[in-house]
Amino acid sequence: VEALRRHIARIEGTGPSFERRGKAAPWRLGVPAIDGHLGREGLARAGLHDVAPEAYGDMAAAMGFATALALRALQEDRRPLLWCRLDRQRREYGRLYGHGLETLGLPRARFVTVTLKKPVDVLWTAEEALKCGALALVIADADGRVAGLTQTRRLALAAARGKAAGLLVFAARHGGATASQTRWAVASAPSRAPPFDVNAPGRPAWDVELIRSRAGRPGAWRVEWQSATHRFDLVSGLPGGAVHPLADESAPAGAQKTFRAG
Amino acid sequence: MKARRPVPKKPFALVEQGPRGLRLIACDRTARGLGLHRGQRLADARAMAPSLACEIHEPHKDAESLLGLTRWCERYSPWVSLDGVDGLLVDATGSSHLFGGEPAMAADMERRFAAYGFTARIAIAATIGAAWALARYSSSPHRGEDIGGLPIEALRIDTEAARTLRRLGLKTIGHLIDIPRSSLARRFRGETIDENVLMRLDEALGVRSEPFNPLTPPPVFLARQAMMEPLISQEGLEATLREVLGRLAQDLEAAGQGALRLMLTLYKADGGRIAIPIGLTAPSRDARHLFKLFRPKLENLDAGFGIDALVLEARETAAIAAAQQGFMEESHAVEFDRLNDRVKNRHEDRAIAGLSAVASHVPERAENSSPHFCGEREGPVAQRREGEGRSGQVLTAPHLPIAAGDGPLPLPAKARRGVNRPLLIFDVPESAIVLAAVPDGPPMRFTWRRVARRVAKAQGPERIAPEWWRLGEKDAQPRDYYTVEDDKGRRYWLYREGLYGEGEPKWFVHGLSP
Repeated sequence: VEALRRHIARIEGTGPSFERRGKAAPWRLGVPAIDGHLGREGLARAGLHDVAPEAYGDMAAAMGFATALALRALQEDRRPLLWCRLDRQRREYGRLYGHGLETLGLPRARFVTVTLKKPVDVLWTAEEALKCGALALVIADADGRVAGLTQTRRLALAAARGKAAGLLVFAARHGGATASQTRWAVASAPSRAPPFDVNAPGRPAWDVELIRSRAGRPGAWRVEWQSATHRFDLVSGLPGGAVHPLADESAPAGAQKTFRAG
Repeated sequence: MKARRPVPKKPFALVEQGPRGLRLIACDRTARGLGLHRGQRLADARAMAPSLACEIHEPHKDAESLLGLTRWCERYSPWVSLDGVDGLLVDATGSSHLFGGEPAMAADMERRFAAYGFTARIAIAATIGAAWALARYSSSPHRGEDIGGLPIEALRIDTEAARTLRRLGLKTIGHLIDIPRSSLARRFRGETIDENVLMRLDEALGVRSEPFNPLTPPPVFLARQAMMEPLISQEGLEATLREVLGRLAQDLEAAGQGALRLMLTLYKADGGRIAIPIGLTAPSRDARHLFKLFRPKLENLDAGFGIDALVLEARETAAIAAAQQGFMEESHAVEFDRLNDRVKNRHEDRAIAGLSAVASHVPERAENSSPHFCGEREGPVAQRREGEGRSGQVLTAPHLPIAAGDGPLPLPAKARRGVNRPLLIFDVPESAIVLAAVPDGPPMRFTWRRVARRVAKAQGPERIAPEWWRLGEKDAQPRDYYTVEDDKGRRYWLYREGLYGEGEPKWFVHGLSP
């Protein structure tokens, strides 16, 4: 039974033997409460992950969360990031803005982007990019109608070959099967006001739901993204609460005063 | 050389409007057999051969057809050129052995021309002048005959000079060779080369070299393959291409070069040709990589009756630099360039691009997307930085060399923390209906894309003045930008165009933030 279990783990690419090949530190969110749901090895560095917005208006949040996840991975990886976008999505939600990505914490020297017309072209490009080995991560706009199990399985194999992670950003939450390791749904959450200005929006906050996790179990949290330190922070269930004035963004990680649940 | 007419029995001629009516300018074999000749009046010719069919001569169509034929001749050698209105030149130096020697090559040409319906006179000689003479004046141009016995007109001299020479009793080229050169030089000192008999003679004999201007400049690297049987199957074509690529790659390697632009030309058995260009980001001589770029283009190819020759040339090459620093580690840079090549050649004009900052206040102009090239990322790039000031300051800072990839991702500098820009930005700002508490204040409610949203938090304004120094922006209005968050936590980047008191300001949604 043990051998069979190991065999299955190898096929699924989740087993410890598979992960041990990569030397990089595990890809985690840095929040123990969430990392506990991801399995022992964190997110698969050479695997596929799905991100979808909870509702139509949450696309920016989903893309922001994908960027944040990518930034967590890029900390340990020197290779850059490719963002494959779909023309349709670009017209609907706007084009990627480098200054905005810098606001989130991604320097423009670390990423490149390409915009393509058809979902099939995006999948092809994502597969080639994952395979080529020069990129740490590929974020791709995916269409639930095109990116089925077979197509995403191809992507997952390419990711394993190129030791790169793929993040598929779907246009909407969907129940279709994909070959992804984890699946996330993201919604915008009211932010906590920054210190010294009660009326201004604070750090980006998202309601994140881990719908599916191969190696772990599902869960839901509200997180906040600190772009200055590339950290997720868990937010207590009370929106609108102001951050403690001493919890400055530049404070070292250990001196964090924000409340942590879990 | 002319195309064969469908009805060979009837005499046929091309006519041209001359000063004294229509004249024949070319006639076919049947017509010649009836005694018709070039320059004859159409009326006279009709009298001799009442069944004569004729058509108006269209020189430009002849020229077009000849040009096409010349291009087609590139299958024999890359050096081809038009010669006057009725001939073409092929420099077969070094390429005739590919066709089994010069006579075999000439026979092959003649056979193929005949198959397309052309009567061709083909001569191979050591100089352009001699080949010209043999092709036009020799009774059997195939055999490398001495040009001494040919009439002097074969020297490409003008009619005036030829008439003078004939009057002097010098009827063949051989006669000219025999007389002292100095007297020829003294007698024929024309302005144009056609009048200068001695120069033409020297060119024909190879004493004086004659420039040859090929239609396409000779490629530096070229590999070709002629097939015994026309290829129809995709597999066959791919196998041949792989072999040819391998040979080209070897040549490139020997020269220390890599290809930047490649042109694959497929010659079809029915006389057509297909040209497939390929472009590369960085010079490469990896046959496998190049093959990957060509393969998708071979997929839906109309091979017609098959492809009987294949020529691959590197139109543009560059020395392969050992160091490609900047964006990534070297091995990754190569892989990345290859990825870029594949993307670019598969999806026309869609290339992987990096975003680079532009020194501009206007948000949509503060960035442009530049095709990504590994080697060219260094150098000063203006970077925009904004502190507390509304107007923003423009700094020119060297592009961060984080790319070199040592160590983990650097955290953004503290100076940039004040900037708050949206993740996504609309190319064309979308208009919104906004309700504000006070005229100059932040929005309270706004309707965008037909959905009303209640603003929970807002930050602003950040005033961005138009760049009045740009042409066509004189009438642009200043913008006040607000970052707002609605009650669901979604963030928008809105701006108000224009000022209160100067007409009705308009509101726009310019971007979305996570």
